[in-house]
Amino acid sequence: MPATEVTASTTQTPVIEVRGLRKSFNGIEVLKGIDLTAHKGEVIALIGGSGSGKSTTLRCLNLLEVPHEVTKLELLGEPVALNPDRHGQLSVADRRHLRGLRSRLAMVFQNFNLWPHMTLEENVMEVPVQVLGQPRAEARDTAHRLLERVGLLDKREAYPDWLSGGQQQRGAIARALATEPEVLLFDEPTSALDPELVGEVLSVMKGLAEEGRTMIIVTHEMQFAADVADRVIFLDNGVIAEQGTAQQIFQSPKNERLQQFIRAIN
Amino acid sequence: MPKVSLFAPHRLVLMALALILCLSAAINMDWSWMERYSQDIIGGLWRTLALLTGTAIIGFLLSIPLGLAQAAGPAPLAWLARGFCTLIRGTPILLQLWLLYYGLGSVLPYIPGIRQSWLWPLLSEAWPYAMVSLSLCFAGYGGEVMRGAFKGVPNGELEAAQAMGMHPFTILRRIWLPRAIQRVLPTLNGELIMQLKATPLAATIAFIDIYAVIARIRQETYIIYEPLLLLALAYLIMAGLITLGFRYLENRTQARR
Repeated sequence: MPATEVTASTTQTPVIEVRGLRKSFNGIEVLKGIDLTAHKGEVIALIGGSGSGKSTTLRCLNLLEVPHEVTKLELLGEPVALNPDRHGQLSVADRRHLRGLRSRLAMVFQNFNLWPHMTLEENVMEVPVQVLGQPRAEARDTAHRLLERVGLLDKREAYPDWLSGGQQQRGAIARALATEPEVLLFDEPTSALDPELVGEVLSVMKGLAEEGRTMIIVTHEMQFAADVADRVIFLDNGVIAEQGTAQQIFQSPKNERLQQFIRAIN
Repeated sequence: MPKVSLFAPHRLVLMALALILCLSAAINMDWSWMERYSQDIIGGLWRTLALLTGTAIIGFLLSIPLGLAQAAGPAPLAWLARGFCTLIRGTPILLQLWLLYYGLGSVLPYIPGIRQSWLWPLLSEAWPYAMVSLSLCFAGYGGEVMRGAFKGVPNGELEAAQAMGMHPFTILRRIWLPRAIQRVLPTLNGELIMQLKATPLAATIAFIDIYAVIARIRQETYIIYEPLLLLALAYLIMAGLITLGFRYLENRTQARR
């Protein structure tokens, strides 16, 4: 994708903005100051080796992991306040505000995490009904429309355990779309899939990207990242080592670690 | 499990044996007392069932917070819950029952004004003590079961709900609790049958359940075996019904995988 198209397809409204994001687990710092801004309509691919901190970065964006330290954290244009507790650990000051923001973000997980005691249709309806207070009939109509879109309308009465990994992940994407989210976060959505099932999930995601949705995708699928991402961010050892258009990252990488990484995956 | 025909040879032999046993018991033994005591027997059965269902429901409702506190609660609450479960599981049920009935029951009357209060008619009967004691007992065992059940639900399923802005209570009600219960249905079946078999202890504090009725029949008629056989049959049927009920529930959830 030529660079001019990149700037044309993204407006300059930041929907997620973090500065100086640090996160430690048991005293080991895994994120060492990440700055990340996602604009409306932008598709960002986060790549990097295992342990580079890409999943942790994504999970910090909706506060599934609470940063250790952060100088600026704005979701959907609203600052999220973090207060230190008596041990000095940060925690979210206003849970209610966070829940409101989270209902406007959506996340797709590596392990799908559909709720096994509900049918696919019920999975998709759950958040609109229980969180947004939509009437069931309306939520069911939306669920049918979304399941049709991901090619699972005929499986709407099926329980998740009856389905293949690819079907479950497509169902999870339908569930994520049910709240009309402003940003979609994908945490290695194809890593737990058998190779022949990866394609069906990626093609659904590609369709979403073409609609102009804002997406942040942690992925190992480099071809996919090259195809759909407006911007590719390479993380290494808890810092952003290089970022740019897919072409810049994959064709003319400057960072030495990135060069190694690209050689290794080719 | 492969389905074995009802008329497989070994089953036919077993059925014939059972039939012979039942017939010889019916013909050769003395069942003449049954008619005279039928009202008492039915009353006793009813009270056993009421005690079982009452204590199981109250106990199970208590076991949810007990399990939750241990699985995810703040440290002081978790310790309290663990302490309670250890205390209940580590002491005989009979002891718990007697401590409550003879211990608390003998202290209560000294509270000023209690004999005039609306509570007194309740406190001077045996069944509230049986109910409370056996409920706490079921809660103690259930709390331990639910602790494991809550912990066993994959964290990702809860994270998915969190990530979409679901309120913690909604997560508990819609996802965590139903998933936890689904996973421990077989264990709860066992706990409930143990609870059934603990109910005769209430007869020791003058609660007239089926066990107490049978004991009285034996004293009054000097007939030993027949009432005991009837008692065994009654418990067997109740345990069987519980297992059937749970099998139905398990089949319904098994269909989902």
